[in-house]
Parts: sequence; structure tokens; C-alpha cells
Amino acid sequence: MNAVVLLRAVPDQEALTDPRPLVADGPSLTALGLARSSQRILAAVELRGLSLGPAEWEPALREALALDLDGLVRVDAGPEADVVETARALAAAIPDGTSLVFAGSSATDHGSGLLPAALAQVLGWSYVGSVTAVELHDGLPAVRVRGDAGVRRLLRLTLPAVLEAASGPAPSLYPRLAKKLAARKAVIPVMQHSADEPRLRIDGYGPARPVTRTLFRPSATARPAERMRQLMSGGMARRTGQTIAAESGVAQQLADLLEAQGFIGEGK
Amino acid sequence: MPARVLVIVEGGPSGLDRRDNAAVSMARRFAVETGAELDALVSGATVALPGTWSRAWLLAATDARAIAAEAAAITASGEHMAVFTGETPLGREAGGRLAVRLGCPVVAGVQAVRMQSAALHLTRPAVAGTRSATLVALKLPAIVVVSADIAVGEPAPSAMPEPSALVPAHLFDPPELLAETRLSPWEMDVAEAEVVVAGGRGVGGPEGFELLGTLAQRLGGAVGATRVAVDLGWVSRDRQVGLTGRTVSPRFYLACGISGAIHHALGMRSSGFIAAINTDARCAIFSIANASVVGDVREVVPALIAEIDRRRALAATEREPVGSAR
Ligand SMILES: Cc1cc2nc3c(=O)[nH]c(=O)nc-3n(C[C@H](O)[C@H](O)[C@H](O)COP(=O)(O)OP(=O)(O)OC[C@H]3O[C@@H](n4cnc5c(N)ncnc54)[C@H](O)[C@@H]3O)c2cc1C
Repeated sequence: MNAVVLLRAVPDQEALTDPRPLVADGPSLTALGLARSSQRILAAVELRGLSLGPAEWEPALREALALDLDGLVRVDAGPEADVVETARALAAAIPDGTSLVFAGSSATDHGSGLLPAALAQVLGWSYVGSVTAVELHDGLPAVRVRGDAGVRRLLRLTLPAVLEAASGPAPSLYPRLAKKLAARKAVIPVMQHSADEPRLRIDGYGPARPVTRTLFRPSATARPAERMRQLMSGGMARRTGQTIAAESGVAQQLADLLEAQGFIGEGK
Repeated sequence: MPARVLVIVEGGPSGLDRRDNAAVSMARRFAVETGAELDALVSGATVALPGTWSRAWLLAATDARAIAAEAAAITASGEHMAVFTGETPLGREAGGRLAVRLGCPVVAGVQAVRMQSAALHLTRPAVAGTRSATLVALKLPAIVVVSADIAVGEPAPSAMPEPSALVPAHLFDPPELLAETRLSPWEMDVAEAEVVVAGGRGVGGPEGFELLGTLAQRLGGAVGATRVAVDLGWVSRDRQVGLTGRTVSPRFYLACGISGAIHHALGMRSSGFIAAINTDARCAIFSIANASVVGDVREVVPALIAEIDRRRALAATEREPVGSAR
């Protein structure tokens, strides 16, 4: 059984130089860490890297290649590849004999987080998201999955599959010097993918959209000046040293807020 | 021009997930603006969606492959401008799979959608959230995975036809569930939780934190704390949020008896929604909170727990089928 890990490069946010050098994206490294531990557990023969991106990514990809990858392929699909096109291009580049693909969660720059599922659809494979570990259960492969609100699941893994590593801090992976030197000299094969007609066009950039703010209703019994003071203070204000929380139904208003955001459903 | 919109949601015993609610809310607004008819594809169990719906389907399976296959069949008529899903794991997977099936554009984290000059414009965060980008869909339907952080509209009565049951053309085996556990508010990592109920000196002691734990349990969240509360020995150090503690970004952060010192704020100010309870109307936390309550934690928190329990009990009795006492 062989496995593939999807890799991306992003500008190094910690670099002080301009332009910032490119490094392997944190979520890609998390996927690589998961892939390496799974390789041992499932006795996978080969673990290869696969990346869709421009030639400028190569130095960052070589750093990843040095982390015990058995090879790496870069796919060139032009600058406009969207999720569907990227999934199709990557699927075409997955070597025969591969039964597991590891992907990171949403890329840190402008990732949609939809690529692993789209890739699974192109390949006709199953997909499991938010995977924290791969292990053997009764001698068969299983995955540990992080669900919403502290739920943890152990699922039987049906191969072939695309696994998306749960977001989290990137593992500290250090290459051996010999691997690093070999990766610098390695030839990275490039596959060309001719994209379909574009499906999306960027119309422009603007400022980040503002966060919605909620102001609680001021007490209905308060005088106008007091109501204004309550509004300006961003919530319910004290009246002559006494809080008015209980009488004005603050708990109800907080519960309304939580309910509107879906946090009061049964079983949460 | 096609004049329909499809919304994909998952129904369940607790009603609509807030992320699916955001998708419904954006789709309803879009339908009003464009005069489009609303269609719903509900997976799992039936749920009453707010607003007026033209057609509804119910798919008992909650497998994204089956949902994508059925949504592709529904939209095959070519009448749909957009398909909306929520940012739930199922919504994302179904959105990605459907885009591949239809060969259509898909955009995630969508904060706004509008028709302009007969083209569909979608706005999503860009450059790690510091900017927003507007994209134009060059092919329809566009698959719109709606940001969970948009402001949802006022609740509205539901006018939805009885959903017609769908029998999937293909049966997909869901992965076998071998085990499931839920972490308690004291086990859950603060950095991972969707809801953090955090306390500071104003909580008054370990008993106060027990109360916060009860509230966090009700909300499926984790307990967080300020450094002062940790230094006083009321909670363990792994709960500390701030400059010398953990950086958290939950969807909901409830700050109880916390002054909002910069060292603390640095660790939580990127939270989706910040609510604060403090007796001091001029405390710093109110300047970064989305909702502020001037009140005593020891009064507001028990009242909130009681209110949540009351609403859940009410919802449970409303769901009880007639004649279930037999
Ligand atoms: C180098 C350095 C690093 C630091 N790192 C961190 C860090 O990582 N995290 C961190 O949290 N702090 C950190 N601090 C400490 C920080 O500066 C503040 O001292 C601390 O956050 C204050 O904690 P507090 O809000 O619990 O307490 P206080 O500032 O004492 O505030 C208590 C608040 O509770 C309110 N209150 C009192 N009684 C009630 C009641 N019954 N109901 C409701 N409200 C009530 C009060 O009005 C007050 O606003 C750091 C400080 C330094 C110097």
C-alpha cells in the first residue's frame, strides 16, 4: 500500500525580509506528520508528496521532500485553478497503487478547506475529515476523529480514502542532513494540467467585513437618560449601586443570543 | 435566468445547527432580493425551516456522497442559481463533492452574496482574514458554503411543505463507528473548544468555577481562566488564556468576572462572539465584547443555567409524540 501527502507553500509569516520566503504551510506539515505516523502503523511502502503550485514553491517543497518523503511531484495548472480544477489535476497525478491521500485542513492564506472532499469525489474514494490519528483496531485500520464540542470518535477506515488531518499546531519535523542535501539536488517532476474554462473570476478586494455587535436592550422602566447611559456603556448599567440584571431578564437575553447561534440545542 | 435556490441542511433532534441556520438565513435573504423560489434538501430527520419554501425533500441518509448525488439530480433541471450549505463537516463535504459532480464553482466562508449586472457575486475573507475578496461565478449554480459568523436574521414562522422522501439511487456505507466519547469542560482543550466559559478574580473562588464548569457543560464548551485565577490556585494552569497562557479563538467566549487586561485580551480577542459579565460598567473587557452584561456573575450564571435547562425541557416536551405515554 502506498500513500500520498498533499503539500502547499505559503509566505513565511515570521520572516522579516520583504518579500517573505516561501515555506511549507502549517496544515500541510500537520498532514505530513499524520502521514508519517500512519506509514509506520499501516506498514505503507511509500509516502510521496504531491503539490499543485507554481515553480516558485520548489524550495519550500524540497524542505518537505527532505522529511523522509519517497518522492515528490509538482503539478502546474496555471494561476486560476479553483477547487474543482485543483482536485481534478491532483487526482490525475496520483500514482497507481495509492490507497491513502493525506491532506491538511484549510490552507492558512486563503484555503477553502473543501479540496480533500472534492478530491475524494473525483477519485470515487471515501473521505474522513478532522483525523487526529490512524491506528489498528482488531488488526484493521481505524481513524480517530475530532468532532464538534469535544466529541471524539473512532471510525473503521475503508480504503482507498482521502484523510484530512485535524487542524492543530504543526509538528516539529527536522530533516536529516543527508536527506536535506539529497532533496536540494533532486529533480522534481512537473506534470502539466490544462484547465477547463474558469468558473470564478476575482472582482476585487476590500476591507475585512466587520464583526457584528449585539447591544442588549436597556431596561424598559429606566428614564431616557438612564436608557441612553445603558446603551452607551454597551449593555446593562448599574442603577444607584444595584445591578438590574435579574429584573431586566439578562439571563433570558443571553440565552436568546446563545439559542440564535445554535448553542442551546439538546445534547450539546 | 434560473430562478431557484437550493439549501442543503441536516435535521436532528436538537433542530438546526447554527451553521446550517446561517446558510438558511443567507439563502432566504438572497431569495427575497432576487425573487427566487426556495427549495430545501434536508438530510437525517425533518426540521421546520423558517420562512416560505417552495419544495422540500427529505433524505434519511446523512452521507455526503448521497446528499451530493441527490442535490445533483435536483439541480439537473438547470433552474438553480445557487446551492447553499452551512460550514458543518457534512455541509463542507457535500459542497465539495457536489461542485465536482456539477463542474460548478464552489466558494467557502461566504459572508455575502448578491446578484449584480446579472452575475452572481460572492464575498469571502482573503489574505488570512485581513481583507475580503469578491468573486464572480462564471457558471451556475454556484455552490455557496456560508460562513458560520454572519449575522442571522430574525426568527420567522415556518411555511414549508411536507418534505417528499428521497430514495437514494446508490447506497453508500457510512464508516463504521467503533467508539464515541465526549470530553468534559475540564478535559477539553481550551484552544479547541467552540465555546469557552472563562472566569477571573470576580468569580470568587473554586466554587464559582464549578458553576462555570456546569454552564460550559450545558454549552458543550471548555472552562478558561485568567492568570489571576490560576495564580490563586482556583484552576489548573492549562486553563489559562492570554499572553502567557493559551491563545484561543472559539465561536463564543463568555468572560465572567474578568477585567479584560491586555495580557488576557491578547489571548482571546479573535473569538467569534465575546460576551462579558462584570459588575463594573467601565471595565476594559466591555470595549472588546459584542455583548456586555453589567451584573454579578454569582447571579447571572445560575440564572442562565436555569434558563437553558428550562428551554431544553420545553423543547423536549414539545417534541414528545402524542400518545407516547402508552
Ligand atoms: C507579563 C505578564 C503576563 C501576563 N499574562 C497573562 C495571561 O496570559 N493571562 C491573563 O489572564 N493574565 C495575564 N497577566 C495578568 C493580567 O495583566 C491581569 O492581571 C489579569 O488578566 C487580571 O485577571 P482578572 O481579570 O481575573 O482580575 P482583575 O483584574 O482583578 O479583575 C476582576 C474583575 O472582576 C470583576 N468582578 C468582581 N466581582 C465580580 C462579580 N461578583 N461579578 C462580576 N464581576 C466581578 C471586577 O469588576 C473586575 O473587573 C499577565 C501579566 C503580566 C505582567
